[in-house]
Formats: sequence, structure tokens, C-alpha cells
Amino acid sequence: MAQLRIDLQEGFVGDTVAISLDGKEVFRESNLRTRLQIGLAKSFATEANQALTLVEIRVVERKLSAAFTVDTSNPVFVGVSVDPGGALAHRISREAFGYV
Amino acid sequence: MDQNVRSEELSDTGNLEEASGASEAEAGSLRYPVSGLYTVEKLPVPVPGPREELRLDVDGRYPQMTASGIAPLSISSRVNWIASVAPAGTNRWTGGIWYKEPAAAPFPYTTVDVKVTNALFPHLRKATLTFSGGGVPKRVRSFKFTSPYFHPVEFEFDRAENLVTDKAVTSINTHDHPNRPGTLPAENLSIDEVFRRTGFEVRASGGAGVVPMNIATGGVNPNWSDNEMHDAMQTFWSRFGNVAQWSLWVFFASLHESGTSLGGIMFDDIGPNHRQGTAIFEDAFIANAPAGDPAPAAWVRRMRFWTAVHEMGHSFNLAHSWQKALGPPNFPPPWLPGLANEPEARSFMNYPYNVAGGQSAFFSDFEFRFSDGELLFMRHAPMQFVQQGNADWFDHHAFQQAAAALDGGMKLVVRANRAAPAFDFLEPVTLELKLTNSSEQPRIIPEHALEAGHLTIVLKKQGRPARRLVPYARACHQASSSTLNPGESIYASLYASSGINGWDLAEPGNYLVQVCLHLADQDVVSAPMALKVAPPRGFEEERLAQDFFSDDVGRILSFDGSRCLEGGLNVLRETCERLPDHRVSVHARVALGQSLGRNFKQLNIGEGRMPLRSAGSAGGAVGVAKAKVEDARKELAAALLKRPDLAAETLGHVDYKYYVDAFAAWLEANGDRKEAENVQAALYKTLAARKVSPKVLAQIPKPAAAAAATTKKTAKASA
Repeated sequence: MAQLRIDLQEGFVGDTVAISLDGKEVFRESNLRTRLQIGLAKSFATEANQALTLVEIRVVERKLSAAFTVDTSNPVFVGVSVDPGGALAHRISREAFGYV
Repeated sequence: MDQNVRSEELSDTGNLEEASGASEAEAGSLRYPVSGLYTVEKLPVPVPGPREELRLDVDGRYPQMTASGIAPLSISSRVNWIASVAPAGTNRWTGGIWYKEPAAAPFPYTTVDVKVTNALFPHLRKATLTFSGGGVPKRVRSFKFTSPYFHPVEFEFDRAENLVTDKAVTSINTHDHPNRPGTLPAENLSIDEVFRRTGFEVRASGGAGVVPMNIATGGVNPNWSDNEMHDAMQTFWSRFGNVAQWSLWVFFASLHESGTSLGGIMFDDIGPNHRQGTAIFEDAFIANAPAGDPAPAAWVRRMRFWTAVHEMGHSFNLAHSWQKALGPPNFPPPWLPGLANEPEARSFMNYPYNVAGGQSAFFSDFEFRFSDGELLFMRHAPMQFVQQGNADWFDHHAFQQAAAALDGGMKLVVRANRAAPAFDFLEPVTLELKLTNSSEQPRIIPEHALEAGHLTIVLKKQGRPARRLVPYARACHQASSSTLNPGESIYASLYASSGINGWDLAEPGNYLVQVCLHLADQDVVSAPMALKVAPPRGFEEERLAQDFFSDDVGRILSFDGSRCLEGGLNVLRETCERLPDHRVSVHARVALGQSLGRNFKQLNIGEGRMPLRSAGSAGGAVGVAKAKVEDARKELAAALLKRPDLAAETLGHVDYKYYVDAFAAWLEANGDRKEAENVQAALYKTLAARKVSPKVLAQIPKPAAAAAATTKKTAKASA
């Protein structure tokens, strides 16, 4: 069991976002908006149950989605953004993201 | 003596003039930096309107090779212009104007030519600015050097009581950490100095100190929420005011309530004046040097310093380096169309750990400065975009968009019930709103459409940014609707002098008032109403004004009285004594009489400051202040009946009728039916003489039913 934290970062403009882990929806929230002065809309943390976890992110109204596998044998941090072209992008880090 | 003077001058002008070549020998004579602010020289005949300015940015620290300025267009309007310039001889620069704000301003010039007469002594420097092009004759202005900086700014640094002083880093030695640019000078660099090099004349506001936490009493979370910091800013910042001003509160604390991942935040996007406060969380992730760093303590000090300047940069309206291009439809437009992101910038506004190569690569090239684009913005963009607390979003955004919906079958008028919209000094400004269904179909509108919750009210004093009037209170009604038939109107009064933002409509001068009504399917925008506040007529008015324009008095007038805001009540009593025939005394007596006429519930709590806790646990209890019937009768009669025509004019027709109806009902309730009938008769006579609509007059009860009911403040009648 290790911490998995997913930060919804840049490009959210009042969106509904759903996050599923291994096919089970664990997070859904509407009206998410990036707070520009810190570049963060929402942070969601959970405990992963196994070494590899399938993460699926959906931005509901914009019909965007991304799915990727994360090594969750140790604490892991995932940053998700909607890039200027309107596509979902993510990055994975072993250290927590910092915001200023 | 000359040597002393020169030394002081160079010290005062500081680091903007330190750059290499700033005082180099040129053509056999010393050349002194000329960049800075110039203001137009006094004209033989004073000309009203905005002051003309020139900002020249061609030497000194980080020159942007730019000239910009403000030029008056009329008594109340001006244009901001920016030009890129290149040398055209000794102390002369020319170039094209590429930016104007407003973009459609009638300012046809396309080229500027700046000729500076340089001098050792700054006060002797002059500039001649020639505008040309655009098919119109040249425009030539003479300026005198005013400052080597482009704008002034004040900083106040406060820290939370539980934060160790050393963690609030406001200066560093640039060579303490070995990973740095090879050419970086070794120096002790302060936050103030960073902003001086940016172009600001930095001053300390003088109130720096400690925000007490009272953690020892228990139950206080040492971490901070945005709202708590906003409250702390209002309480502890010596310069706090809901106004646009070149002033910033910087708060050093341990942690934000969101945890260690937040190193700092420009938290002030709350309320009507943004960007006045910023915070740094010194125990967040910025206190953790990377594993294996050769100088971890220096790394942390540098990161804390960097974070403080970064957050302060947000207060100047700077976005992150990778957000520069964000714009419509999801975000407000950048100040320049086509502004590009700077993801690899070695700027205070970029995240060190997000560039290629990470924080190590960032700091190896970082020169403790903002990017050129950011310098251009802070030095040359229109002031309202940069200045802390300025309401530029409102000046240039919402209302221009809303104005597109002017013709939607509804008409909103703002007016004063007097021959000319001129108000005496100290006289509270009460206006009348009239909403008319100008279509041919009935319209469904909210039951309380003209109450504050549905309105946006903007006040603009000539020569100043627009301000939003935020009333002291908003009613929350159960949603209900009414029908407004074709040609029918509703009316309401609007107390416009003061609100939560303070007394925005009080100083002598010319104002514009504009109101936007938000309906479900459209915004209805009034035409701007011009009004004037007269200057004081004597010493007595000036002296009273010092106490009168207070939050207490504003609240008492807005809420029609109080029994607990004793300071404000005393001011109103003194006003009535010293200015008994002044219009302000009508308002003062109404407020005093209204609160004296009935038993008044009061929450009584012990004197003095105490830790935050519930009123009950602090020993508070609700008591009753007894009515003073005779005093109330005296005040209300003097206000409403002594000079009824003047009272109707200064209170406005809607409020005058409301107050007289209430007075009549109160007299009836106190057993004086005869006087109640007399009061209603006086009301009818007064409003009839002022040619108020017959349908309004028809609402005034006949003498036998004088005390039937108090009408609501919003009266409904046909136009």
C-alpha cells in the first residue's frame, strides 16, 4: 500500500473530472478550475492496493480521457493538465509537486 | 559641495543607473543615465485633466528600449501609448508607437522622437517629445525629469508569531550557493533592490511586525487559509484600504492549510480589490534542499528568497512563465495580443524545477531578475493593469460586454430627484432607479429586481479608475417573480455614497454612475449618469468631514439608524447641531429618529479585545435599548416636515414617501391619529407639488386610513 496523489494542474476551466483506478471510479468533481496563481485546480490522494495501478482520467464535458499505468509500489505523484491544444497531458514523479 | 551632491544623487537613483556604460565617457563628456519618469512641464495656463507623462527606458538596468506615456485626450480621458525606440544621435531616440489603450482612442500619431537634455543634476534634465505621423500636425511636449523609477511602490513585511525570524528571508548573499552564473556579481541582494532594478521606487510602509497567533490558548490551527490571511491583512497591514494603491502586504508564515506542497500564494483574489496581499510558507517544500546539494542551507535561503519575489510578482499581475499566452475564451485576455509563453525563462516567475535540466539548470543561469517581457509590462503597461488593488477588470471588461445588451426590451434609468444632479458636500447621495418594460410583451422579473443582489453599481470619479459600489448588506429573498407589463415601471432608491469599499462618492468632484441589472436572460445597463459633489462651503463642513466619512456613519445612514455604533451616532448628533439647515441633517435626523422610535435589541459583550470565541461563551447577552418616543418624534418631524420640499429632494421621492409613511404609522401606533393624518396630508401636498406621478399619489392613504400600512421601499407604478 503506497500513496498515490493526483494533482489536477493547468488548463481546467470549470470542468467535471472523473478519476478511476483499476476500473473503479474513486473521484468525481464538477466545476474544477485552475487557480492561476498556483497552477493547481485540485489535489486528490488515495492508497493504491497493488504494485501497478491503471489510472484513467476523464474530463467529462470535453470528452477528454487518458489512461496509463503507474508503479505504485512506492509513493507516487501524478500531475495532470489540459494543454493549450486541448489534450490531456500527465507527468509522473516520485516527489510531491510544489506550487508557488 | 558638488561632490557631495553628486554622491547623494547616485545613491538615490541607485541600481537602475549602475549598469555598465551608465556613466561612460561619451564624445568627451560624461553621460548620465536618462531613463525614468518625466512629467510635463507646467504650462503658463493650468490645463485640467490627466497629467501627461513620459517613461523613457533606454539605459540603466535591463533597458527595454521603450518609451511610453500618458497623453490627455480630454478633461476626463487619456490614452496610454508605448513605442519601441532606437538611438538616433546623442541623447535622442525615435521609434514607432505599437500600443494604445484604449485601442480606439483618437490619437493618430504613429512615431515618437525623444530628445533629452542631459545634466549632472537630475532636476535639470529635460526631455522634448515629438509625436508625428497619422496625417496630423506634429505634437510637441516638454517634460522635466521626475524620477529614475517608473512607479512608486510600498512593501510591508509581516510574519506570523510562530515563524522563526530567520526563515522570513528578505535578502541573500548571491554567492552563498556555488551553483550560480559565473558572471553573477557577489552582493547582498534584498527584495527591495530586486524591485528597484525592475523600475520601482521602493519604500517600506513602516508597519512591519508580527501577527499574533495566541496558539498557547489552544484550539488555534497554526496553518493559514486564504480567508484567514485576507482577514489578517485587513487587521495588521498598516496601509490596508479597499483602494487601488502602489502598496503590498507580504506575509511570512509557516504553512498553508493545504500542507507542505504550497510554498506561497498571492492569496488576495478575494473581494473587490485584488493583488494587495501575498504570503510565503517557509516550512513548505521550499525548505527542503535536493538530496546531495553541496550547500543545502544556502539553497533553502535562496529558494525562500526566490519564492517571496515570485509571489510579489503575482501581486503586480504577472502570470507564471508558462501561462503568458492564456486568453479567451476561458481566461481574461493578456495585456498584449499574442503574448508568448516563456517556459525556459530564468525569471522569478518560472518554476525552477520545471525547466529542462530541473532546478540545477535553472539556478546555474538565474540572475535574480524578471524576464524582459515582464519588465516591459511592469514598467510600461497601463498603470491599472499593474497597480495593486486596481479594478482594471471592471474598467475594461464586464461593462463593455454588458453594454452590448442595451436594447433588450427593458430600460434602466439612474436619476436624481432634483433639477440638476449636484449634491452638497457631506450630503448623502441618494439616487432613483427606474426600470421600464419598453417592449410590447409582459416581462417576468424578480420580485425584488432593483435590490442590491441583482445589481452591479459602478462609480467613477473623474480621473480615477472605476470602483464597484458594494452595499453593506444584501437581502436573500425566497425566489419569486412578478410581471412588468408593457410601459410599466418600477422604482427604487439607491444609496450611493458609501459601502463596504468606503465612501467612494463623497469627495468634491465630477462622477459617473452606471448600474447593470442582471436578469435571467439579459443584463440591462443604464446610461452613465453624471453628477457633481460640491466643495465644502466652510471650515465647519471640512472639520465635520473628518469624522463623518467613517464606516460607522455610512452603516448608520444605510441601515436607517443604530443604537450601538455610538461613535457614528455622536457624529450625526454633532452634524445636526452644527449644520442644522444643511441637507445632511435631514439624513442624520431620519437615522437618529428611526432608531429611537422603538425598543431596540442589542447584543452586549464585555469591553476590550478578547480571543475569538462565541458571543455566548464571552458572556454576551441580548438586551433592549428602550424607545425614546419624544426624541424620535422631534427628530423625524424636523427631518420630514419642517422643510418638506427640501427633504423630498435630498432623500429622493421613493425614500421620502417610505419614511413619511413609516412616521405616520408610528404616530398612529403611538396613539396620535390626528398627527398621522396631518403627516400623510403633508406627504401628498409635497409630492404633488413636485409633480410625482398621480398613480404614486393615489397610493397615499386618505386621512381616515393614514396609518393603514407602511409601504415597501420599492414602489410600483406606471411610468
